[in-house]
Amino acid sequence: MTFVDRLLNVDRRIIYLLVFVAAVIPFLFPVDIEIKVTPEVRSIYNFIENHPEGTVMMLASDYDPQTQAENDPQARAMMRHMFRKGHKVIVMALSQDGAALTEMMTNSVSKEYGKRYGEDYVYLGYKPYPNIIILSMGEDFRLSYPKDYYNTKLDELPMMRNIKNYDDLAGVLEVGGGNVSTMWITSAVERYNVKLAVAVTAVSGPQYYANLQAGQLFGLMGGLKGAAEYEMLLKDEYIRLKAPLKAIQGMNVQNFVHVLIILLTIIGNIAFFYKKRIGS
Amino acid sequence: MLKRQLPMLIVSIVGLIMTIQYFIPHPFSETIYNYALDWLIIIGIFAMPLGIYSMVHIHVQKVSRRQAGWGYSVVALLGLFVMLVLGWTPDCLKDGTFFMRLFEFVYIPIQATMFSLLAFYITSAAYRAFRARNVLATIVLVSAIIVMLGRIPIGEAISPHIPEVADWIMNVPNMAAQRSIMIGLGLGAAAIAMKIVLGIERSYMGMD
Repeated sequence: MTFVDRLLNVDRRIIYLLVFVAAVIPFLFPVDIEIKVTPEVRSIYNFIENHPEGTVMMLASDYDPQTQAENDPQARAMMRHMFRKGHKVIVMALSQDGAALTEMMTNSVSKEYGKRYGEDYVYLGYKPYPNIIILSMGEDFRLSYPKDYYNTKLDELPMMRNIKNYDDLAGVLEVGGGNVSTMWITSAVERYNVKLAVAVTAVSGPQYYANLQAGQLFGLMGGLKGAAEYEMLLKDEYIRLKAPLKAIQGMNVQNFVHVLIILLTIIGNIAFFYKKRIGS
Repeated sequence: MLKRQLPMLIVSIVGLIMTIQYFIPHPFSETIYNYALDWLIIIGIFAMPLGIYSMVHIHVQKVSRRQAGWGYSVVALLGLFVMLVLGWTPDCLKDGTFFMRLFEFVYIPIQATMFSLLAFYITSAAYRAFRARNVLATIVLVSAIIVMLGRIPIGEAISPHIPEVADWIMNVPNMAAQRSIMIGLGLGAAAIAMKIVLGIERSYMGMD
């Protein structure tokens, strides 16, 4: 067996080991990286930044543990920004596996800012059948959520007393890893003219560029890179809070793993063409 | 008659009413819409016990017949019932409860692990199968490399043009393809909906 044959038939466990090493190195030797902020991420930042204190916004946290690594830093970054600006936040979850994750995220960020439940933020919790819930909230939040996650009636929460439906919100920031983001566009944007921005996984990102350009979305945050861009915009705030810049740290890992994938693809192609040439 | 024509008649009438009401901005139309939403939620709730019954039925059969992999079915059933019972206990959603510990320290890591394994599989697959065999495959390969580089900080460090080209790929060719897929899907969905309302498409009732 020639060297090229060996290269073409390399044991997959060696590749797995290389990926593992590439993922671990940045944790041992972190590099200070600068990340350029794209206009689609900046427009989410501007949306939150330019609204006056006390504006009510919704964070629809529709992710689950599978995509937590990408979506959690996105959700935390937007939540921190909203709290820093003094906005009031309605948090909800349309992923059954994400309800508890969202609660953990909401509790931890609200503690950082000393926000009071029911006055500065509420957590509606999870309800099944996302499309129906999104549609019904356009009429009245109480149709789907008569009570919040903690079983308190919405009317008993001071923040919710004057809030009926999407008309009372400045906009919705949706964090999701699946097709719930599409449901938000078709049901909330198209039917109720909701101002919507989505933060999605890197895999889902490309499909939402069409919605962004069509004006159905005012912002788009794609994957860990999008979260890292947002963390760059809030870097001083993160340092003040002593909060970990998880997405920026994660980009270090992506740096190494992407380069590894590119190198392996190039090596694989060189070996493939060499073998083809020798064979012919 | 009751088995075939009646369900089709209900579907056609409801489909037509819901289509027409969408274009009529009137309180009466809104009332119909709200009423339909209530029904959707009620019907949706019925699907949940059906799903649980179906899951239990399949796994119980697998265990009782000792089919291949029946041990996994035991784990699935145990998982279902343990979480179901713990989920009924008061204050189960509070921090530190057994229910939340199982969720936080068993379920979340398992799910995250499953997804993170993709990185290993994708790298292996890229090495073995991502070949520039013809012109189209070469275009895909080169685009993928540029986008991968453009999405990481090192891409910009190599050349500021790499992220620009990556953005162009995402905003022009990618978007053109996505749009055509979306428009195709939209037209397809509208055609199917129309066929269902008109009674031409009957596969939802188990008919050809």
